[in-house]
Amino acid sequence: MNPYAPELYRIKKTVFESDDFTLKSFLLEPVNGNMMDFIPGQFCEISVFGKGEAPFGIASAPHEKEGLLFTVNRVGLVTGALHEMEEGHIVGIRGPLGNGYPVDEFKGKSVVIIGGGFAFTTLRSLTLYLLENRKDYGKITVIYGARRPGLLLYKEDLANWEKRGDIELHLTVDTEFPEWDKHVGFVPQVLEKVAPSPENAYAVVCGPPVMIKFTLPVLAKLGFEKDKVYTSLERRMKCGIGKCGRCNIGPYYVCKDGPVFSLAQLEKLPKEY
Amino acid sequence: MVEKIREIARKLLGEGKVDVVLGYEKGTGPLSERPFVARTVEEVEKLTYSPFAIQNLATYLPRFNNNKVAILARGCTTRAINVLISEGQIERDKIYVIGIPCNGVIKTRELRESIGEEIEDVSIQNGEIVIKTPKEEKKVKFEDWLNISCKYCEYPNPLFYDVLVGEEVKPRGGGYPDVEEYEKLDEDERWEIFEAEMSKCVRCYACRQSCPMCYCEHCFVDSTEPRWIEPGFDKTDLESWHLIRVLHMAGRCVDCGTCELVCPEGVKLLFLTRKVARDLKRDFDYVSGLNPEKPPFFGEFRYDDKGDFIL
Amino acid sequence: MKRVPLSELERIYEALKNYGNVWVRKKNAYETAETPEELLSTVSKVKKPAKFILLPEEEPLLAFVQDGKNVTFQETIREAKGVIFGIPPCEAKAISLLDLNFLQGEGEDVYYKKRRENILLFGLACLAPDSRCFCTTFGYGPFTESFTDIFGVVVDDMLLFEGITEKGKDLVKNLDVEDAKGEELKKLEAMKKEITERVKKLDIQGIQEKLARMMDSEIWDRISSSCLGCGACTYYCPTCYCFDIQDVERPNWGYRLRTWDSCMFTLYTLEGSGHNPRPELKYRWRNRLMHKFNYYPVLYQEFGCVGCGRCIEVCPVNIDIREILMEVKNEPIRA
Repeated sequence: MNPYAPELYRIKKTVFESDDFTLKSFLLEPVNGNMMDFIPGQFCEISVFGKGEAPFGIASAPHEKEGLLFTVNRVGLVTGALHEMEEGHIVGIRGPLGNGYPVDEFKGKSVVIIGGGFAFTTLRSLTLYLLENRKDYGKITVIYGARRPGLLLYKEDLANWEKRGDIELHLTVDTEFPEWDKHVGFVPQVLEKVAPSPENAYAVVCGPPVMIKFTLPVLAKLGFEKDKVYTSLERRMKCGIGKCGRCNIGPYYVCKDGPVFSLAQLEKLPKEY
Repeated sequence: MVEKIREIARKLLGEGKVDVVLGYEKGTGPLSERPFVARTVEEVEKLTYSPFAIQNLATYLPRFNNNKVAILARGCTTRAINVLISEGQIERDKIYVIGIPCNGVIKTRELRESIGEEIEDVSIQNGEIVIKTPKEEKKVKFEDWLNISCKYCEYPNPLFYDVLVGEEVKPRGGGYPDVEEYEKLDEDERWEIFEAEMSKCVRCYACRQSCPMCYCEHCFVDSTEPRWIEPGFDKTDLESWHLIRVLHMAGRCVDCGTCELVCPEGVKLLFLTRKVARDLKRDFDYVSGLNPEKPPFFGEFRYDDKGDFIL
Repeated sequence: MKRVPLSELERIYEALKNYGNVWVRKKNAYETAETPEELLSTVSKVKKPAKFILLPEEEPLLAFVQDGKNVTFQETIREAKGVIFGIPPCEAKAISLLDLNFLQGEGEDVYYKKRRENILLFGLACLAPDSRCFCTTFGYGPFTESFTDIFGVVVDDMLLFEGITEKGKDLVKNLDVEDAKGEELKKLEAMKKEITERVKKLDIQGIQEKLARMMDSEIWDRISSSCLGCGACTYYCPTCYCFDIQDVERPNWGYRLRTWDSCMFTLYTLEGSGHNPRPELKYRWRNRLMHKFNYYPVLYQEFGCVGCGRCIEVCPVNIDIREILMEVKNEPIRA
C-alpha cells in the first residue's frame, strides 16, 4: 500500500460559506468504492493534481454518508486552484490522517466547544457526532465567533442547532453589526460571560493563534484542568504521515501524533506553533 | 595587524560603543577562517584575519539591525555596505567600520580539494602558501590561488571607514580579461561550459545565503504563484535559477566572489556575474557600491542610456 | 573471514555484478563501476554520501494525466538495485538510521523500501579517518561491521571479508576464495585498535537530557550567529532525510515530485496564513540540534548523527557541530 497514492474523489457540490468568497465548502464523494471511515478531528491531504496537496480538517461527521465535507480558505496555489474547481472535477484524497478528538474519553462528560473564524471545520464534525450520539454525553455548549456575521461558517447547521433544546449555542461577532441580535465581543470575552462549568467537562478550542492565546487563560480561570482542554494545531504539511519531518513539535509530528493535543501535552513541548 | 584589530574591538566592546564585532576567527582545520561574532571582550581574543577569510561580512549586517555593530570591512565589503545603504537595508550610523586593505583572498575550498590529503598546517611566506601534510610539505604560489575577482580587483581598500588597520594597497586592477577570454570562445563552447557548471549545482543555496545582496525574505525560487522555477534538478531549472539570480545581481553585485568560493560543489558563478558587471561598466559607466547616495542601477535611467540591445 | 588479493578482485566482481549495479567510491559521489579495478578506491570519504542512492535528490512519486475534469494517475517507483561497495561504517550506520524513519510504522515508504531491499551493503573498514571525523562518539568505530551485509578490511595487499547478514553470507559462500590467514587476522586486530583510537571521541554523556532543559537558553542565538541558513549541511549529511513534495505541471499531465528539503530554510515551516513557527534562524538551529540529539533518541533510542564530519567540511562558514555539542554540554542552565 503506497501511502502517497491518493483515492480519487469527485466534487459533488460546492458552496461559498463566507460573503467575501474566501471560504468555500466542497462535498466530495468517492469515484470508486466506499467513503472512508474516520473520527471527528481527523484531516485529509487533498490533491489538486498539477498544483499539489494541502491538509484540510474533515468538516463532515462520520455518519453523514452523502460525502466528505471540507471548507477551504483561499490563500495560495493549491487552495486557489481548488476554489476554481466545479462539480464533477476529480481530486485526490489521502486520509483519514491524524489522531482525531478523544470522543471516547469524552463519554459521559460535558463538552464545551469553542471555535473562532474558519477554524470551525473539525468542530462541526465533532458537534454533529456528539449530537448523533447525544445520550453518551452530558451538556454540550458551543461558543463560536467570527469577525462579522458574513464570515460564520455552516449557517444552516447553526440555525438547526439553535432550534434544538439539547445544545446550548452562543454565537458572537467581534463588533456591532446591523441586524445582529446575538453576542457581541471576542470569543474569550463571551466564554467568560457564559462561564461553562468545568465540572465533569472537557473543552475543545480551535481558532487563530491570537484567539487561542486569550482563550486559554479564561479556561484556566474557569477551572478547566490542563488535561481536559484539547486543541487542534495547524502546520505546513507535506507527507501527512510523519515522514518528511517538517511538522514536528519536539519529537512528535502534528500530522501523525496530532493534530489534536491536550494542553497538558503541549506544555511539555517547545512553543513552536 | 591582528593585534590592532583586537585592540580596536576590545576598546569598542569594552566601552559599550558597539554590541557586537563582526570579524573572523580561526576555523577547525587549517585553510579555514570563518566569520565570528564577538560579543564580549573575552571573545575578542579569538579574532584573526588572513587571506583565507572568504565570507563577505556585510551579509550579516541586516540581521543585526537592532544593534550597534562593528564590522571588519575590505574594499568589497564597504561596497556591499554602500549598496545595502542605498537600498534602505541598513543605516550608516549604526555601523562602525574597521577598514582593512586587502591583498586578495584564496580559493580555500579548491585548494583544500586539490591537496587531497589531510592538511596539518598552513602558512603564507614570501608570496607562497606553504602547506604541511603528514607526508610532505607543498608550496604553491599565492597568486595562482587568488579568487578571480581579487586577481583583477580595482577596489582593495575600504571606500570609507571609521578606523583603518594597515597600509592601503595598490589595486591589482586589470579589468575583466577572464570575461573577455570566455567571450572569445564560440557559442557552442560557451554553452557547453555553462551547462557543465550548472549541472553540478545541488540547490543548497549557499551562494544565495552568503551573498550580501541576497537579503530577500521571499526568494523567487520559493515562489509558487507564479511558479518561476520548478523544484527538482532538471537542467532548465538549475540554469534558470543561476541566470535569474545573476540578473537580480546586476548593478548590485560587488564582485567579492564569496558565492563561488563557498559553493560546496565548486560551481563556477563568477564568469556570469563578472560579465554582467563588465557590461554595466562598459555600456552604462556603472560600477556598483561606490556611492550610497546614488540610486540603484535599475532604479534610474538616463535618456542617453544605450538602447542597442533592445532592437 | 575470507581473503582475496587486491590484484585479483575480478574473482568477486562478477558475483557483485550479478546483483545489479556496483557502486564504488569516487571523489565526489558513488558511481557505477565498469571494471573490477575500480573496486580499489583511494577515496576514503566520498563527498556525497550513499544517501544519494537510497533517497535521491529528486524522484517522481506519481505521474498523472488530466482529461477535462477527470484525472488518472499511476505510481512511478524509481528503482535501484545492486551493491554499494566500500561503504564505510559511518554511512552504513546512517542508512540504518534512515531505515528507522522510512521503513517503520504505518507510512512505510514503498519507494525507499523498493531500493533498500535490493541493495547490498559491502562495507569496508575506514582506514583514514580525518580530523573532522568523530564516529566513535556514537558507540561504533571505523571497523564496525554490524550495519553492513558483508564487511571487509584491506590488510596490506589483501582484501579480507566476511558475510554479516544472511543476504551477505549467501553471496560470500558462492565465491571462489580462501580463508583468511592467522597473521592477517592478527594484523587486522592491530589495525583496528590503532585506527579506532585515532578518531577523536567526544564526550556527549547526558547531552540528550541536557538539551531537553535548554529550550529557552540564550545559547541558540550564539550558536546560530554565523550560520547563513543555507542547506549545505543537511544535503550532505548522510542521516538527514527531510523532503518536500511538489507537483510539476505540464499541459494535461504532470507528476508529483519528492525533493530534498532543509529545516534550515525559512520556507520549511511557513504556513499558508503567513505565520511561521520558526521565523528566525536560531529557532531552526535549535530544532536541528534537538532533532539529532534529542527527538531522534526519544523516538528511536539512537542519535541522528553518525559523526562523519561532512557538515563541518561543507559548511560555507565552517560551523563545527562538535564545538556546538561541547558548548551545549558546558552551558550552565539558568534557573
